[in-house]
Amino acid sequence: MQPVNVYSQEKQPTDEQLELDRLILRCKKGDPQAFDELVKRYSNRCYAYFYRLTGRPDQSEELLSELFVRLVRKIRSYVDGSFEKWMFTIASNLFKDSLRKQYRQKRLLEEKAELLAQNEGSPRQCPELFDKLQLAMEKLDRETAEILNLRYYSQMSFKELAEARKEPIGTTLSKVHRGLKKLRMIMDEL
Amino acid sequence: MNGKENIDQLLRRFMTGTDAAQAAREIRAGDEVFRTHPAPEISADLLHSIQLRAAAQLKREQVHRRAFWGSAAAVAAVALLTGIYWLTAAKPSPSARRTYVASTGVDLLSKLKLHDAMLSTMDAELTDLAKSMNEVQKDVPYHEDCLSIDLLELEELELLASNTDFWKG
Repeated sequence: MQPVNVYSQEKQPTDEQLELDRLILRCKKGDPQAFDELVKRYSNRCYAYFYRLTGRPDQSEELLSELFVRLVRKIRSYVDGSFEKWMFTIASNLFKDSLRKQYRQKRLLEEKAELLAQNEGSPRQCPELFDKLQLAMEKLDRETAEILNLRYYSQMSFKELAEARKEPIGTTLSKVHRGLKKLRMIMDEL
Repeated sequence: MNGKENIDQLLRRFMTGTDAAQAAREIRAGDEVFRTHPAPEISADLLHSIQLRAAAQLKREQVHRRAFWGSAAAVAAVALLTGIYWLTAAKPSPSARRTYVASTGVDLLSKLKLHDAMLSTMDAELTDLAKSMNEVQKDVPYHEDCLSIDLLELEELELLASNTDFWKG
């Protein structure tokens, strides 16, 4: 089979990319307003990523806040390449760190299941419990949930995703494909 | 999904045409699930508090960086001053160096003089020794101790002659 260049668009930086480059440059120079813009620009996507992985708003908020503190600390170490890849790699590591600390994670999920049973039809009390996608996400294994969220919220290409995960692109492609199929199957069952 | 890549073409690198098309459809359907189920957005308060925290961290970083460079500059200044001290104060000035060379020369001369005196003494002693040797060669006893030693040697020879078993012990 002939190799096809599926990433030809990456060679031409878009206006959005150029704008982002300028913003990062300002951040590197220590411009507080640039950091405000960066937070505004990425907070929702990063929050969604954490939320889909943890299923807990409080923990997601904490992780999001910690992520931006780390970005301020590390922004000078970002040199080249996809900023999203760099930022979501930090986010992913942050999540993994929090998981290690969170030895009660399993118990919390059990508590959540109990809550679900108790609070039938009361979305105001615990809205995250009534997000079908969130429930399906919690039924996936951690790695699959992470790769799906990472791909969707970071908006990385498969190539960038594979690089971030340090695995062959074929492996990433296969994991995402199987993961999305499984997710849809679970959602159909719910 | 993000316009960065052509998923159909990418899948065709790993699958046959029909399978690739099917997989592309499934991936798009999966992406659609995410789109139709948006995650909650963060509140304005949370956004503001994160911005404040980031600004505080930035300030802290700048203070640390300033402190670091301040310390580095102080260390560099101390190193520079030490270097200058070693190059100027610790190293003798040209006039001091001249004095040092002159004093070294004087020392050398006095040592040479001392050696000369020792050599002349040794020379005189050697001359005396040579004289003594000449006198010995002429069989002229020049000292009483020499005579007593000669007599002892004679006695020893006589003893050896009278007792031939002497050597046996």
